[in-house]
Amino acid sequence: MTAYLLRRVAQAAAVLLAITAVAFGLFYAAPSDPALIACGPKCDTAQVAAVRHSMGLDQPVLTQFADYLRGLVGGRTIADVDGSPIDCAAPCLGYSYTLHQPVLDAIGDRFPVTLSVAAGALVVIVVLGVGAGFVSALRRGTVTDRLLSGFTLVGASVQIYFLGYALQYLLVYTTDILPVPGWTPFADDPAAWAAGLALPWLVLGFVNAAVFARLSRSQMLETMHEGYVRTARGKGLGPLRAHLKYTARGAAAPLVQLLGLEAGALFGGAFITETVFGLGGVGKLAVDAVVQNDLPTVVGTVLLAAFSVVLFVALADLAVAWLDPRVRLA
Amino acid sequence: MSVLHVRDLTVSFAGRGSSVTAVDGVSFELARGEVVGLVGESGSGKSTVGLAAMGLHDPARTVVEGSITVGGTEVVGAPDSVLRTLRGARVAMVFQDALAALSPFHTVGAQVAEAYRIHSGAGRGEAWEKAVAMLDRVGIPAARARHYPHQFSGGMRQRVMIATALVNEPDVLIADEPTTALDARVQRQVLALLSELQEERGTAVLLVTHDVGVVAETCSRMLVMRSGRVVEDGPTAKLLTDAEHPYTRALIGAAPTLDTVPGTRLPTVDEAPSPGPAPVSGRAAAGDVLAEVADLTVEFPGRRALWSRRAEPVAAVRGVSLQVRQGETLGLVGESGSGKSTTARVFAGLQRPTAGSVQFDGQDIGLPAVRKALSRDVQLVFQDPYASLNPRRTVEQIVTTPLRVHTDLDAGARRARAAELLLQVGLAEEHLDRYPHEFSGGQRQRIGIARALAPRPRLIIADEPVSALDVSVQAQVLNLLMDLRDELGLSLLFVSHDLAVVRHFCDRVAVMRAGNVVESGPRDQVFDNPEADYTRELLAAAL
Repeated sequence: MTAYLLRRVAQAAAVLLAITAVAFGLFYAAPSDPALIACGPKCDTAQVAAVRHSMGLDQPVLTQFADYLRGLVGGRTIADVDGSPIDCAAPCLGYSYTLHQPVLDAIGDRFPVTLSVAAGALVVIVVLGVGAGFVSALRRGTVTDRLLSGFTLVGASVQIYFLGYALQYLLVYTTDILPVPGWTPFADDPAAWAAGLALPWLVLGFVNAAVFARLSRSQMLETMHEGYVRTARGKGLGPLRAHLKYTARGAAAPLVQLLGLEAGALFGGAFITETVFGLGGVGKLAVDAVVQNDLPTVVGTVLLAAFSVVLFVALADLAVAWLDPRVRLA
Repeated sequence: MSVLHVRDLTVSFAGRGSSVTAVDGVSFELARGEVVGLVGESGSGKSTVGLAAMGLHDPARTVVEGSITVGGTEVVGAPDSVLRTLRGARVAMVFQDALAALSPFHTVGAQVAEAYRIHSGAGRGEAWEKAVAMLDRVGIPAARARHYPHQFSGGMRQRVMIATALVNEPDVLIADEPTTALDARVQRQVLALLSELQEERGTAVLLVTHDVGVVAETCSRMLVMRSGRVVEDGPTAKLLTDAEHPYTRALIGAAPTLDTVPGTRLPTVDEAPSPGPAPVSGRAAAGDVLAEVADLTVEFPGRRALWSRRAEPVAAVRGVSLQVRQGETLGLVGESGSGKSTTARVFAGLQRPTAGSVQFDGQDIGLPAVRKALSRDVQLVFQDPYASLNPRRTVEQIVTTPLRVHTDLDAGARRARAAELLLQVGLAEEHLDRYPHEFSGGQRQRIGIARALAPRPRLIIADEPVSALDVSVQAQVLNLLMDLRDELGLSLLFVSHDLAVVRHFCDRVAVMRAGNVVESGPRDQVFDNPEADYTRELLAAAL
């Protein structure tokens, strides 16, 4: 197991390094000049050149990349537009000249929102998706099965912005069941935190649940006929206990893998959902950064999303290895 | 006093619009401590009887009628709550494929302990101790109780299965083909263990199997099933020597044993029994060497350890030298993992040797010109007639493909040749336009043989060609292969784990173990005066 773990961590590190290189390449592929943007529209050529020098943009690409990597690991000092030093602690993702703060701080300010949205949505996905799949499989061919399949299919076929506004109209403006979606820190008021995020959770969860419902249903149906499930029944276990302990375990691996990908994507920022509900999370930050040509922030959020996917996919692999001892040795 | 009482049992599976009756009015009793064999071929309904006694059929798709009582409790129609108190406690089951039947996610100790906990209400610690003791009783040391099923060999896994079934000391044990997937020596050990435990605890055993040899070894009484009905029921000794029903006689005689006269026609179920074995046709003396491997070694890449750069290769074949002569049949015998199939694949040019020379007709098969000829001159017959025929192609397409590749015949001539080949293997011309799923296993194997014969090969490599078939069908296919061999003067490399079949069919025999040939020579010499200890061991284990 330890060897397996080490191998997985090494792989994850390699993937992250590659993504960092590609993301960093954005600086050079992008048609806009970071120095010009940082300096502002009133700068003349000499001023832009000075800014470019103080930002280190006149250095060779590899030197800049090495600086960036060094900053990621150990922190570095970045020159502001006027040349004054800004301390950027590790892991330094650069400095946003648009927001006038280190990219990491910009992300850090907004991360609690993204974290809350993603965690809640995942719970809804698992309960709704996997739960529906499990029940459909046990009640295969019945009305329940067909209703659940239809219900989850509706979720998969509507767009977040449509469903978001429709539910907001129904649950907030027409019936007052929920307050207007918004952000309240958990520490301030947990009830308000949950109420403000309930709608985004429902929408994100419902839209993503269908894939999980379908996959878990077919996985369960396949596993149900495995010999070890029959053995469990033969030992005298009841059907529900046998399915929970054996069928569900046998069906879990692909679900966990998919959940890892989903979690990775969600923790990198839910771009559309945050925009629809006006939540200031990392997704909103990334969208704004793209619109405003704020390249350091764009690269920072890309890296965060990549890190999140790599981290959760690796976690999913570990979970699968924990679930199935055969994988540990493979 | 009977512990299992089956009366007028009928089981039918509901299909789309129609239903199939798998068991049709079966009645029998199993007395306390009795061991009864339930023998039949695939589709005879024997396994269905076993599952019905456990109440394990899916009620939504199965109709079970009649009566089954276990120690006086009715199983048919009983609610799940009642069945749960019976299953595992008073009637337990050992399944055929222990790798599939044991949970891959739990340690063997936990699986045995669970079976105990369900019915005894014991705490975790007590159940674990009980499980370890039970595993120890079936020959699995306590230190291995925390291992997972995939870390055990096939025989050890079947022992775990037996421990799970017997931990609650049930009155009835239903063993469904408990040793079918095992090599002969391991099979004998597992059967011995079952008998030992059965005597020790007085458990009644219903041994469901297709293998008359297994029944002869272990059961005092046997029931013979065919098409859902019991055709004969009596003491094993009587049925083996003096069965009343012709099906029983055919079933018993169909499998060659180590006492059958080699090369004789085997009696089959559907053919009228011939008055006596037909005389052995004079087998022509073997001619020149046709195919040859010398110092053959085949290695497969192994798993790479984290700290080493190079994977340690796994040797499947280590320095084997073999010859197949013109017109002779060489039998390659060994247990699973002995390297016999890999060696056969090298002969066919399908596996590149790591070292050693491979020659066909005096030429190295590595040469490009030889390879093309090899793909025509060497043909294969495979083990699984279900997997080795493309389900989307008609019999004509299957049989004529090698003709299209290797001959200049036009479509009409190819069809004519295919029809001729079907006749040769005992099928008819009208079968040409059908698809494989319309045929039985034995017929499919005939199609496979017709395909192999199509380009008029000089060597046929048959890898376990009859081991997936029922004994009566096996007899038919062996008879066919013997006829064709005499008629066409074929040379064959016959790979099998079954000593009796090899003895019956082959002129010369090579015994393989762990990648080496431990003994080779003319059939009678190897079987009557084996030199290697291992050959003697194998012969002793054969039932």
